[in-house]
Amino acid sequence: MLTTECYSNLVNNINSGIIILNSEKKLLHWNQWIQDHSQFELSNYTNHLLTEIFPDLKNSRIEDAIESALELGLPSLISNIFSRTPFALYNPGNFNVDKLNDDRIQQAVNISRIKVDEDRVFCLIQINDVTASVAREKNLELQVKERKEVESSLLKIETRQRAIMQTMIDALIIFDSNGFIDSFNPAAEKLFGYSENDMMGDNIAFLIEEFSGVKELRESIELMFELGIIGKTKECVAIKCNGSQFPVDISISEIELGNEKFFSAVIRDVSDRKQMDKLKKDFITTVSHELRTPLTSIRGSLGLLCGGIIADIPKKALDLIQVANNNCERLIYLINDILDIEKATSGQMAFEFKTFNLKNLVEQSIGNNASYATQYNVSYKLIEEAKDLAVDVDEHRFQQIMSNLLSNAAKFSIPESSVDIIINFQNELVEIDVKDYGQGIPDKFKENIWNKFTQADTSTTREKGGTGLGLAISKTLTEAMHGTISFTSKEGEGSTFQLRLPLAKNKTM
Amino acid sequence: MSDIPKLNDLEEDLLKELFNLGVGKAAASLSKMVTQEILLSVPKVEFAKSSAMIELLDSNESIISISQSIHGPFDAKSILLFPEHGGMEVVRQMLGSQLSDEAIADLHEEALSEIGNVVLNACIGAISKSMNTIFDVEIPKFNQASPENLLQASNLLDGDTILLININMKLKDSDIEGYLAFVFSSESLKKLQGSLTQLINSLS
Repeated sequence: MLTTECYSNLVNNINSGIIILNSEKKLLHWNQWIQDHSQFELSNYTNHLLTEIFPDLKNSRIEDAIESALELGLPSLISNIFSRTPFALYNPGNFNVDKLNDDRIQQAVNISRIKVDEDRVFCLIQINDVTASVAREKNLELQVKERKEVESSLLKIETRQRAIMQTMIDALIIFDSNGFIDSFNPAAEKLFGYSENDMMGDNIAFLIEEFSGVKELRESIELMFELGIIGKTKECVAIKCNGSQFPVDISISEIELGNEKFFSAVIRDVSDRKQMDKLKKDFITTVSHELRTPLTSIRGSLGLLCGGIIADIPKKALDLIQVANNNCERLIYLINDILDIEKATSGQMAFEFKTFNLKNLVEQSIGNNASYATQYNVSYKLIEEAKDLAVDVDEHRFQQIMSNLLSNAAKFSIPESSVDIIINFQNELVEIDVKDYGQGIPDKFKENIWNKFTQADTSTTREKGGTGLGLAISKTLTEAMHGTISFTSKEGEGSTFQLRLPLAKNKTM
Repeated sequence: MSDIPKLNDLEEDLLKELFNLGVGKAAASLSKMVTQEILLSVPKVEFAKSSAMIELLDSNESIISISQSIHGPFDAKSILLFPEHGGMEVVRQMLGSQLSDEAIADLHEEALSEIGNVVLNACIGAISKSMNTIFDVEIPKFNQASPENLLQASNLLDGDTILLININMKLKDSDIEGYLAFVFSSESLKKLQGSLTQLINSLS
């Protein structure tokens, strides 16, 4: 048998709290652990009621359990789940003077009866410090919660994105950097006639005519970069599952996901729009042609009448014929302009490039328009700041541009003023400035100036004449001859239109 | 079935009162533990074969049992039984629904051991008090087993007679059916019946 001293040693060395109460719930003994964690000296408290030593145990489960153990021999497990810190016990390492409830160690308590002999029973209270495992569990629970939150928010995002993809009207195809399709939305299924399952892992190159014929699938991406499709909207020809082709607008953007690169292609069928465009063009061209034929004979007749082919036309009638003739001329200009712009924008206009001396060309332009300027009491003045410049242009189209610029300048000049035509050479480009000292271009009109059928003030159309197509045509023609056209203007001070053309490759005339 | 004793009306009433008293005290303790009202009641007490317990639980899932052995004037084993989902539901209701399923799964053994301890203690206490005796009661053991393995896991034989006490547990959002079984050896059973008769006689 072990000696009492030996027992005492044993109890003191246990790494949990042991409290022994007598049958009157008064303290008989507690071990060193309790002393360390309560900082209560055992000798000061022996024979005190436990509820006097730890007052907040009054009416607690601990008190009930002690009673059950002593009266009925019932053992109680009081885990940390429902009673976290029943005893005022603290970590001996950082004893807090405030002794806050939060600073108590987390406890799990066992209470049971021990029968010493026939007459005597004691109550044994065993307290375990479970702070560390509670913290671990809490941490784990927190991690689980965080993971779930992340998962659910990811799921939400995915669901939302999926919904957007699914309900998009435009076809959306996502593919990797080798062109292999990763996702194919219902609109794409409808457009191409393939199901998403059919297309998974297939290459985007099969769907777009411009990408087909690549030797290696990887090249399709390089081709896309070459074609300048990435990050822009481009018109391409798409191929349906039945092999039929149709025009599409395709916009491809790059998506970086970690180390992986993906591409998204938004594809819109533009067959209807193309059809409408063609119809509109055909209509304009047909109408213009049909109008021009009768107009030519009307102008001929009117011209002859004005020229006095018939004698004895009364002066009043002749005036009216003159008005009719002028307006007929205007109508012909308008129709020619419309035909020109349709030809130029559809690329049907033929250009006959030749090398010309710029000064000669410009002098010719001035000559052509001099009589027009006289109508407005305006004179043209050529200023040659650079000499012996040669340009490669189609002479007829160049004169068309110059006529437009010169007549505009005259039309919007103040009477008695001059229009300066300055020839210059800067930044490897030939420059022709047409500078007037007229009313200038209103600011709000500036951004629309190159659009078709625009003039600053609709009322000036009547006063000054013109179709509103002149500048649009000039711009298209200039660009077709590898040049640019721009302007600067200040209201009330005048405008300068600048035509820039590349210097002729063969400079010697 | 002839060896299963039958309780007469008086005995059944007495036992029902006894156990209702016991679970009533347990309900008060549980309510205090979680600061929400928990109601426990015993609608039925009967003798049955241990196998009847399994039929009653009629569960495709595992069965959770918390048992405490009793030694004294008679020996018995008290077992509180829940179908698994019922047991989990008790824990969820008592700990608050903000806990994740993982946390409930982690805590259910410890929590149900404690809940079982409270219920079993209260019932054993009620018996002790009425019989004016003190038992030596062991600490609770937790067990989770499939219905087929329940008897073996609880150290029971198929033919053992049990006193089967139906327990109805009402928590804020749910009603949970559980069973309390007292398992007796034949000798203990006789002693129990003797004590019951004695008790009835003393009352009348």
